[in-house]
Amino acid sequence: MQTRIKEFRARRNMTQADLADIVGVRRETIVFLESGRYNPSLKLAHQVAKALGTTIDTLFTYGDEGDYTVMED
Amino acid sequence: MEQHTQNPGKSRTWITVMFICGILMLGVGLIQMVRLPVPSSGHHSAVFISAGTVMVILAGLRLWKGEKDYMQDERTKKIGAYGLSYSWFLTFLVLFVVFWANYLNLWSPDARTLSVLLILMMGLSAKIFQVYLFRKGDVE
Repeated sequence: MQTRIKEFRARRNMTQADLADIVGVRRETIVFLESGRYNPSLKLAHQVAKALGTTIDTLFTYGDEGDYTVMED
Repeated sequence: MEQHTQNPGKSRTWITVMFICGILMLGVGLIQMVRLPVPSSGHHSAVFISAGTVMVILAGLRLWKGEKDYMQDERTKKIGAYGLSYSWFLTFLVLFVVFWANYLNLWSPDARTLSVLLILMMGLSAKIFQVYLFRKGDVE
């Protein structure tokens, strides 16, 4: 998993501790999120995206993105 | 939408209660040891003193270090739960081995030995798994 949290955080002049406080998690969790070593819950991903003024799909990308097939009725 | 952490104030209250209980237990143990005659105070005072000391140290460290270091969020809760479940499974395997060792007359521990083994193994292995997962960052 790759994230753009660091990039969006820098744009807003926000430290990891600031983001952690806003979202309500430990700073280490933000560190692991930024390095792609922690897969957040949908709820946490939504909160981080909201705090950074963006959307989940902009913030988080997976390596196999594009492999999904949309099933239509 | 609610945040991911526990209410810090509530948590601090519980830690303070634990700290006070520890001091009370330590005090009761010391009073028992000093005031009561040796044969009647022996076991009880030792239990009160050791339990009280452990509670005072644990709660005191938490109060002294502050809430930030002990704040829980979804990652720490997940890691805590996985650590406990891995520990449970390891204990289950050890019990399986002990059962067969006993059945085949290879090792026949008495109840006290087995209890100490299980208490130490469950506590230590849970902590070891949790520390490992904390360093790794996630359970996957």
